[in-house]
Amino acid sequence: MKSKLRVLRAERGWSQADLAERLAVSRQAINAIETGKYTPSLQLAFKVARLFALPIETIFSDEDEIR
Amino acid sequence: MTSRAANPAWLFAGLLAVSAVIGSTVGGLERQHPALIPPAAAAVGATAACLLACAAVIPLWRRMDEVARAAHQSAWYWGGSAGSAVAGGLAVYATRETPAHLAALIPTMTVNGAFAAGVVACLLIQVAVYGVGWTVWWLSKR
Repeated sequence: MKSKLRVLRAERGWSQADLAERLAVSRQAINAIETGKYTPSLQLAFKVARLFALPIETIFSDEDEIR
Repeated sequence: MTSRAANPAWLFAGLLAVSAVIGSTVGGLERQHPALIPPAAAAVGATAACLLACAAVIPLWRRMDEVARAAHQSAWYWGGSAGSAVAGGLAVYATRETPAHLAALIPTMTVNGAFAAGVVACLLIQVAVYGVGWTVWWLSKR
């Protein structure tokens, strides 16, 4: 799963810890999602989308779509 | 920032420490006064303690985020399964070796003690490999 989380976070000047606190998850969780090594649940994906006020598909996309 | 008191890992470590103190105290009493606790009461007490430990983990589990849960679920499946495989291999090994060889590991071992030691060894091996599985999962997500 690819995501634009790192870019969106950087645009707001947030650290991984800042974003983790806003989403009530650990910093390690944010790192795992940003590096594409963990696919968030729908619940967390919606939470991320609400936080950034963007549609989910703008933030997350699957590998096939990238190719 | 999460304080130490509110951190599930510290709470779990605290629970483990309390369990160790209670377990070693009861075990020490049992060793000094074997008739003090009837076997059935000891079995019921140990089962109740395990059930309480399971219940104590529930709030910790609920406070974990989904990534931490995924790590534990992966470790539970892969670590627990691999731990069982290792324990099974050791059990087969134990049946092939002479009792004297095994008894040398714990000189005061009785038949009851050997059985209990085998059960505890299986649990410890599973916990150890669980820890390995948990560590490998997190390392793979870095």
